[in-house]
Amino acid sequence: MTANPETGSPLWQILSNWGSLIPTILLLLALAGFSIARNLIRAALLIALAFLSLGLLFLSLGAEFLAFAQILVYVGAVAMLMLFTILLSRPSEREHAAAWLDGGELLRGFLIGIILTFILGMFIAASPLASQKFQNDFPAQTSLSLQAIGQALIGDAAASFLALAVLLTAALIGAAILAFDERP
Amino acid sequence: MIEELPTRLYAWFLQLLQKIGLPSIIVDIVGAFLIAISTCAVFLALFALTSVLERKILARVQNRLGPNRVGPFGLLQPVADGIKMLIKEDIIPHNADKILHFLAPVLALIPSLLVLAILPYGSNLVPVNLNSGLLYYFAISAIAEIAIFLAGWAGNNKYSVLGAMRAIAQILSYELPLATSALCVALAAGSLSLPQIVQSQNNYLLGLFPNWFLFTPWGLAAGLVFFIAALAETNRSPFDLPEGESELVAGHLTEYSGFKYATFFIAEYVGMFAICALFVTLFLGGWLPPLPFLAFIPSWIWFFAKVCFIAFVMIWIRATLPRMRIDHLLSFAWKFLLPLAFSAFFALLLWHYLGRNILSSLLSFAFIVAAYFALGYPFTQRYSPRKRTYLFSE
Amino acid sequence: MPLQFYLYLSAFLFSIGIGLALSRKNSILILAGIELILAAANLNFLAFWKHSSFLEDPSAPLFALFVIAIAASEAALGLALIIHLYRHTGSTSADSSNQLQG
Repeated sequence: MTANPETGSPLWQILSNWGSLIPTILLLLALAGFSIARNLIRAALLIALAFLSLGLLFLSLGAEFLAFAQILVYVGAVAMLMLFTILLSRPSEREHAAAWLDGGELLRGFLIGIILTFILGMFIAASPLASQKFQNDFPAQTSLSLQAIGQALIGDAAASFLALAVLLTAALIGAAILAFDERP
Repeated sequence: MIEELPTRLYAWFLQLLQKIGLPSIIVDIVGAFLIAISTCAVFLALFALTSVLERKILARVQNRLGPNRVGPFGLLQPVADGIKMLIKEDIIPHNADKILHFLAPVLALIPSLLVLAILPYGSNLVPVNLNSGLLYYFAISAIAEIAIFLAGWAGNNKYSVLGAMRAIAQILSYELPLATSALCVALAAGSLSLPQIVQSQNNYLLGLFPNWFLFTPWGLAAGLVFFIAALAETNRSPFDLPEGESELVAGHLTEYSGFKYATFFIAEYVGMFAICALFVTLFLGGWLPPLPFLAFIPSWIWFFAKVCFIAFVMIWIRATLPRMRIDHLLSFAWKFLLPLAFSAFFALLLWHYLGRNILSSLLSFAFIVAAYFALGYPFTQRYSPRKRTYLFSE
Repeated sequence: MPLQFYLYLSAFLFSIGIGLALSRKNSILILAGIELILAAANLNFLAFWKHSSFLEDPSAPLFALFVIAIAASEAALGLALIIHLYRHTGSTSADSSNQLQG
């Protein structure tokens, strides 16, 4: 009765393609909705949806630890922080009534995005990778176990891990101090 | 034979579908749906039973009878409650965001049901055997937080927004002790996958005493921290300030009525069972029997018995303890539970690296007791008010 | 899905992130764009990892994990700064703090 995503049965091979397509469609829809959202809260929620679908994309790439870490951190922490910041920094009624999204903003962003996409796309297309054939089936066994990540964190990447811990502590203390409200 | 009853039923049903002549892809998909629907159905039935049993247990603790009108001993009360919720008018506030108002209950229910996929209900009875199952649980509960925020925001009401902020502050603060104590178990078992964690508790000291993680010194501390944090995560008493009826009306659920309110209720109860099941898996040995010769009783019966017992303890605590104030419960999480979880972590390191024997157990137990008293001392100070000075009178 | 799909997708996300960060007026949305940039880089790493023959090498998921942690801490600090700025100037618009004094 166990359904193990790591075995390569035909069902999972078909689903792995849909497993990449569905999050991609969700991501594109979320980004489109984010661009034309009517207020800030909806924009933040659609970005959270975009992060969630990115996590699902990581899952379809076979990195399940990273996918759940992404959902936990981005959706659970970053998106939540954005929502809280929106709550704590409500604009006055005058700003609210002003045009939330003017066409200039959207057009500028769109233009920058499209031009950069074309430039980067041309670089990708000109590289030798563009015409290589890759196996696109789900890996039959994920050779990377969690133990390998753990061993690397304690072994090879120990210094980076400790530095990251110090960085996160510093960020926590710094954010707490910055956001502390001194008014009674 | 009863042990393999679910597996055999499942296999028989799949064979039936194949005999009809459906292609194997469809059979696989229908099989996956069947697993998901049956798991959800079991827990929704448990929810229905718990909603009346909880009221009866609360009532008995308070020396009165619970609901006893509807069926024999009041057991058909959920039917009456369901009908009531379904025929209530669904009021949406005037300026509220209709999409968000509709989406919040749905988004609150989905994580509670998604979590049920990774729990090992018996030996060989886990719907999805993820390698990082424990991390999956925390990722999914992150989605539940956003649902609470949506619920508070969509009411278009300052008080429900405040209630939502308090609820999220509570859930975020208690996620850290929860994750740290679960981390202790993951380290001791050497894996993040829940069936593996249960398997690593599958030995018996002297052939008689179960080697569950709750019965180790660090496991006791981590288990209690996990249990208290679990009470707070699911907004149960004594941490039910966000949804108490006498606090800010109904807190973040003020503007919900009818079936949407019932959906939040279902989400809360199913979440409570899910976290009870997680506690049982991590600390009480999942589907393992307490004594090795009791293994003739099927493993899933042991699992559900343990889950119901822990749920009973949660209801018992609700009946007994008063509600905590928001600043009290937040300082309890940050100043007591989180350092205690870290000291449980250190006790685990002591226990593991000094050999897992009696001496290291005693040492780590002493460490935990010392940490408990050291951390709890500031909480025992009585509040002694300063001598009052009056400004305008003598 | 072939590697090129993920490469084009992450390039697209990267450019959308830069477009967002450069064009929106609200500071919170600029931060959202920056997070999107980091997530697109993660996607790139993992796509190359999966389509390589070194699936046992944990370097790529490890690097992606560090990127996620750093992105979270930078988001926390950025949002704390936005709140502080809001209390000082009364608005979250990026154009509102255009004076060196006050």
